[in-house]
Amino acid sequence: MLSLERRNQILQRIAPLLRSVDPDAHLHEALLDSTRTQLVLFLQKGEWPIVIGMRYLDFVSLKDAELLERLASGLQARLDAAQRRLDAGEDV
Amino acid sequence: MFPRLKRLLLGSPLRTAEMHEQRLSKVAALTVFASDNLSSAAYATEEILLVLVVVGTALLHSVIPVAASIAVLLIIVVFSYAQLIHAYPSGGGAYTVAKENLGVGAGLVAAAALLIDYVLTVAVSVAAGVAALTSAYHTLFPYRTAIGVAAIVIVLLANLRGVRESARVFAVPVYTFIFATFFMIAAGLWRHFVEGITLPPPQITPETDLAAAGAGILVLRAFSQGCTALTGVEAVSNGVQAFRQPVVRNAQVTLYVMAAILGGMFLGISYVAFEFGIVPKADGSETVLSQIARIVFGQGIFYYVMQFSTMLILILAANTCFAGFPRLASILAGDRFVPRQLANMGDRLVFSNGIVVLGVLATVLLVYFSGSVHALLPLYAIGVFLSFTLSQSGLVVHWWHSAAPGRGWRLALNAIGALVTGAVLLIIAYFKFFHGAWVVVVAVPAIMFLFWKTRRHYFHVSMQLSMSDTVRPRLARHTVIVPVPATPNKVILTAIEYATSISRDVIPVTLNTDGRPREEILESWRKQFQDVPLIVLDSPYRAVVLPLLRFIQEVEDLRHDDKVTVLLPEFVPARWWHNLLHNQTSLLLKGALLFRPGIVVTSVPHHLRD
Repeated sequence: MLSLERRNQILQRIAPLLRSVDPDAHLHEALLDSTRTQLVLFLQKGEWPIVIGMRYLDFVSLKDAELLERLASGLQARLDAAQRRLDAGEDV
Repeated sequence: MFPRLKRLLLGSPLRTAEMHEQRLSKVAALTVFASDNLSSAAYATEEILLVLVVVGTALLHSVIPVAASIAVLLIIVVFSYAQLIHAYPSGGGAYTVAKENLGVGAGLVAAAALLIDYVLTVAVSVAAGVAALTSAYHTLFPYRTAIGVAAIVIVLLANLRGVRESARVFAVPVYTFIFATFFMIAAGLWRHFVEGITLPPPQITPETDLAAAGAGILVLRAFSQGCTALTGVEAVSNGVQAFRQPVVRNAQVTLYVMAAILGGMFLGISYVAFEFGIVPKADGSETVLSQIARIVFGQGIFYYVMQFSTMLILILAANTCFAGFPRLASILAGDRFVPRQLANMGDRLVFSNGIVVLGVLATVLLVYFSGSVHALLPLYAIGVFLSFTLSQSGLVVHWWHSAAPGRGWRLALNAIGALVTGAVLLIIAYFKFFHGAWVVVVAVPAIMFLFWKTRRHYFHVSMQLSMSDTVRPRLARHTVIVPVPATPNKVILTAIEYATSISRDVIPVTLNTDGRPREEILESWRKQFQDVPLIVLDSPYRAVVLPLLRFIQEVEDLRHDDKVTVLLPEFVPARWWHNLLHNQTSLLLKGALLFRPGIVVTSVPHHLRD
């Protein structure tokens, strides 16, 4: 589990990047999973909850520009998946 | 409350070891297996007359040759069935015989026909039994449907309690009916021929003239209606195992005696009805049998004995089906053609589910046809003759492959039986088709379709559950999502404790539906659960279930290689009606997640005190 301080640091780094990718997407929470290898970001765009995962090592080692690109592609992939579900009528 | 009511109505559970078989003498077996068949005498003559009277009195004399033809048919069928007893001493229903000798398809046709006929037998027998009662007490006539439903419920409960086909209980009404009927016939003949009592010819307004209707057509229609007299002949062959040794001989003798009694009663009633010129009442308010009894006995005690014994034997005929239908359904369930629940024995060592299904279906039929025997009968008999024909045809194949002594004449006898019952089947189907038999003609293939669909389902399930080609899965990671309210409470404490005991990846999630500051919700959470971060989702339109489902799906997509469990904290009120005072969000979530593959749903109950 992340300490509150580390959690806040992560949020403070990612939130502005995310805003520049999509101003309507809000970052709610960041968790480190039990293997301590995967960072899970909990976002929300409008009514859609979005969960993006990335290797914690990548988060630490990537430059901001690379992280922004990773966030943009991750967000787009999740929004596309949500849209596919809506189109297929699978959304409950 | 329900368990107590169940015990009161059905009695205490029985141990499996308490199941025992009854071995019956011929006299006792007659009472157990013959009630369905013998009771047909109560309405078969009336059904013949109902066809003949459409042209007034011109064809009433045909009741005798029609009844005689049916009696000849009875002899053929009985001798054919005696061979079935010989071939299948362990009990061979039409399903077993047709399946073993003609193939599964033919067996299923027979099974579908038999199931339909068991339902119809209950409805018809109860309706006819109630008609015997309302004939004696006309004031009850408007309530005949309600009385019929009550009778089915009583028989249903008695069978759920496990009232076995008790020969001692059955003997009184069965033998009373037999003796009362023969006494009535004898007394009727005495009054007519010795005392010279005659009645004025019946006044009937013809619905059509003889030339237009066609005498031959009407006689054949009357014959097809009267064939209901043969229903129940197969009961003895189905229950051979219940006879004492030598089972084959005893069962065959019982079958012959049953046929002789039925033939005698049926011909006697038809003859007396003809001699007295009795015709069915147009409004159905009094049966032909009641009219004969009233003329012969007056309004005395013998009349009521006749009516009550008729009613009781007809109810017993319905009771016979409550043994036959569940037994056949359990055999079909064993072969995976009907739901497996039908093979389960209940608390009282009876096939409770089959009994309930039969009771419900018969009640629906009885109510739909307003308790009228005449309205129900066109559907009847076609299934019986279909199963007769298939079992006789199956026996022809059986003897063909057999090396048993006498196979030649037995084969010939069953071939005649198959041909005759097949021809009668065609006659019944043709003449009753537009009067209701089409329902059965449509229902048999429809039921067969369901049989195959059911079997196919079970096959697919067994293939999917089979472990023969399974690679043992690796130990997967386990993510637990716990939907919680925005304000923590004891229920949540229990749930989070449990969640953290089964996984290190626990994600509590809540919905901010009333626009509270997020930090306030998080602070309140952290005070109780420092180690488990809460995810707060905004729900500006106050939706609860949909955002949670979307969130669960997002986590599932991320962790698709892992196990995802949704753990639902629930409190259980002390009183059932307290549930009405609370949101049922957990229930809605459970329902929505039921059909999501790969997601496990678990409840963590927290019991409240009163």
